[in-house]
Amino acid sequence: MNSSQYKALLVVVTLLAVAGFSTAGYIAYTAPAASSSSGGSTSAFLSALIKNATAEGQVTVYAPYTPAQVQALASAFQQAYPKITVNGIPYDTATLLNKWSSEVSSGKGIADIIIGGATATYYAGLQTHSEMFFPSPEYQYYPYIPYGTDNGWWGPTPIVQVFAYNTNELKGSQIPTGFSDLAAKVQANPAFWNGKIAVVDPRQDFASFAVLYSWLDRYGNSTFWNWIATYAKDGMVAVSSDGALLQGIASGQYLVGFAPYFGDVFSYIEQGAPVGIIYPSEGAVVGVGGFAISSVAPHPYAAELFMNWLLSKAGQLALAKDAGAFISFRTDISSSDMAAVVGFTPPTFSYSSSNAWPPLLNGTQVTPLPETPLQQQAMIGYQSEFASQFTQAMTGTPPS
Amino acid sequence: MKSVTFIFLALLAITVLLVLTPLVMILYASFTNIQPGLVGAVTTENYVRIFQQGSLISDAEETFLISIGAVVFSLAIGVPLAWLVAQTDIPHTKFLEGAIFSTIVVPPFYVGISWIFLFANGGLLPTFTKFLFDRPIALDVFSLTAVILAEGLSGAAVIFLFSLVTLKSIDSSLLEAAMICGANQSTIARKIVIPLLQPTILLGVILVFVRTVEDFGTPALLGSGKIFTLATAMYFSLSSQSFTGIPRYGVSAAIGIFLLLIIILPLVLGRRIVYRGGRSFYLVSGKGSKIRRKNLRAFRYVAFLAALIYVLFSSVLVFGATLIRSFYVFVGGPVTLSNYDALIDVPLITRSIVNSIILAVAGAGLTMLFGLGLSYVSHRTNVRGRSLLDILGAVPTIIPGLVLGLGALWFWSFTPLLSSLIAVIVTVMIRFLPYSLNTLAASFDSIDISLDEAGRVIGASLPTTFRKITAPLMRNGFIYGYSILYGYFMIELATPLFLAGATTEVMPVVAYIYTIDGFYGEASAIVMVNMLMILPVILFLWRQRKSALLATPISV
Repeated sequence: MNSSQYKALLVVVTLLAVAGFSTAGYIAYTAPAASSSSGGSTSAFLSALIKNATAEGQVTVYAPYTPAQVQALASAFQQAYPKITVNGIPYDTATLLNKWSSEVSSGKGIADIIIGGATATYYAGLQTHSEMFFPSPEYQYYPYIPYGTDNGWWGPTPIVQVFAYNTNELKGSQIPTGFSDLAAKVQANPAFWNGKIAVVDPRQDFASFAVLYSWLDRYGNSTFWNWIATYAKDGMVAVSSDGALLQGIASGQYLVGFAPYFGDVFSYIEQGAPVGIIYPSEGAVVGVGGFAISSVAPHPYAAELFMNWLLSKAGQLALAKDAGAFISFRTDISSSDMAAVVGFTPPTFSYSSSNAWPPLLNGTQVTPLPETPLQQQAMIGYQSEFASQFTQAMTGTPPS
Repeated sequence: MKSVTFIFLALLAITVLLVLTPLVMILYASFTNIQPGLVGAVTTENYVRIFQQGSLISDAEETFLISIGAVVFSLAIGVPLAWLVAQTDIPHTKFLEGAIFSTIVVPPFYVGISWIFLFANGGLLPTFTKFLFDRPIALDVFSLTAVILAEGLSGAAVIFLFSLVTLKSIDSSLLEAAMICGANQSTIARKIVIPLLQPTILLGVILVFVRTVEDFGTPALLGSGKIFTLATAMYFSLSSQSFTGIPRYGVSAAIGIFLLLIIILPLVLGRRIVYRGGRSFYLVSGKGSKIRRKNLRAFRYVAFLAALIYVLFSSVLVFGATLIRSFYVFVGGPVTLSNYDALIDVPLITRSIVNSIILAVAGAGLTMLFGLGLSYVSHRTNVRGRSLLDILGAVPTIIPGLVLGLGALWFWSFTPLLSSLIAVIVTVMIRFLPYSLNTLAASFDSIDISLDEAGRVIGASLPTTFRKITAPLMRNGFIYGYSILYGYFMIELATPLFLAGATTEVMPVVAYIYTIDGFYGEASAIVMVNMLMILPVILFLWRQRKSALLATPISV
């Protein structure tokens, strides 16, 4: 081969490698046998794990849930393993990931395990990883996990970002079905909606940026910014967090807001707040709530036991009950199992073709968060421009 | 080597280590691209990056705008209030003095939180006005104006404090003499009152400016992702607003260096102006000069009402709105105690309460004891170079809490004590060392050294002289300093923000996180408990208002 043929071969190999890496997120996972790593049966593997974890006595969990949710999860775990204390650290996703990466990079770990949020979505493809791979025996129940085994990140539960509305103020046809419908309603009766629409400020909250970016990516700049500008013209309010948005909706200050995590919305509903949930017709944004054990975990066995418990049926139902993760990728959990735990029939995922991601939510299409490393890099690179465009759109004029 | 010299050298070494290490570490961090605890190549990339981003200038502009706005606002409120209380017949002066003094330990950060609870969309005011009038009335608390007002309200107490001390010490005979000579009110103000006020007000202005420049909590909360100061830019370059995969500590440190420079400049300039030509100033007290108060006639009640409005906004509303909010999960919902249940049920919160108590009780005590050692050697011995202790001990005055926190994080990362409460306590100790030295220096200066010498003449050793003579005489000063430090340790947000690890969170940090995340119910319960813990200090300040000036790190 001459040099140009070598170059061509190099380009092809590089493209194939990039393509392979980019699609790694979609490869169905074949669970490793727990026995192969432990050298014995699953029960022997677990017994040894429990013994080692109990000797460590504690586990520090980073979780972008509400403090109450983290505590409820910790209590549920401690019911099963009373000799292990759980230190739950409930910050926002990006803060936790920054802390996490800093610890992994410096080799000085505080966290043992990180769970929930869109952690896997944001993180899995971005960096060179040194998370610890844990061959849980529970993985056999997760044939459709949309992440590979190469980096130690696992996504057993989806996260779903939705619209929320005030059930006292909006009834029947007043309830918007999504972006387009809301824009039409605002144009038809601007006075009614003035100052009553809220959005989690994407300039302030990375998760909100990622969610809004997903819609922009799917529907294009023009359509997306026209929606935002239409609402902004009539006084849409940008708030600092999901919590602030739901507080405003519960107290009646806002009639509708986007796009909180559906688990947070349900926690308000559970507390009796007049809050309802809308799965927008443009597709709720769906990502993957990831789990990972730190390679510098101070309590690695306790972390493995915690992860194993979270992946178990009991753990997944506890996640549903306590942290609003009403959908599980675990195959032996049915809708009725979930309904029995949470008190209502939650939405379900189905797959249009075998193992295809993203799935359908209640039979309708969803809007996936950027999944592959290339998509994520594009999203990160767009962050500052998005902030400028959002600022422009908030004046009521869509950015050009 | 004499034992006193040995103690001096030991104290000097510890002070150098404590005070200068964080500064050296943050400077080092700003020239590297690595994570804390690692050693890497030196690079100027962080400085290049912050200049290329272009936000440094706008962040610095907003920092100046907010700080100057806060200074102007605090002068506009603080000086007239001090004049009303010191020189006029406004009613209930003792009450007003105590009430205004006591607000000095209410952080502007908590004023900001209470405004969110009260005025913001979803807050108490819009919810109840909607209930009453079917139309919510909300105020835009997430704005530059709100940040300036919150900072200015807090700063007004400092200006009031500094102005009042001088105004009270002006001998009425000076003013009467001027009047006899034919001077009118404006001439008296221009030629006598303002020149006398100038040095103390200028120091107050510097203190308010510095406090505002370095404040993180208020612009972080009320800036709401739209307004960035250097302090908030420094923190947010590592957190949720700029998730980049790997935190850029170097960038944050480089911003911190600029923050440091912005604080050093006015401090140096201010002190030069005040002490130009070798001037020095003393508080005149004890002469018992009679102040002839100006008769305001009916206006005295209007003035009293205005002063009350200040007290209302700076402290009563802060407590009131937070207390009411703490009984709701969401405003408009049922009244509940569940937010207080979280104080016990959520380990993060319970732990932060315990940590704050340990930090305040032990940290304040250790700071006072260490300050006592420094002050004793500096004020009661003749060891050569002893003034170095005072100079080094005052250095933390110029280090913003966030800068100190980040520098300390780097230092502790090289030790096994990272993420320990010891690291947090020692770092906050450094922050408040100047307060301790200021209080103790005043105590030492008030005790005639001849008493010590008399003790030594009759054969008592240095420790015995201290134990039997000096310590009993300065006990009140020590208790006063400890109380003030306890309050400051309890409410400190910026310094522990970077250091708070998995088990070392303190209440202000947790309150900040809960507020940012919109868990207003739990946040208000945490703030209430935190404020209850500083209530004894507030009441103490109320009673001890004559010496409240010592609650600042700058001596007159």
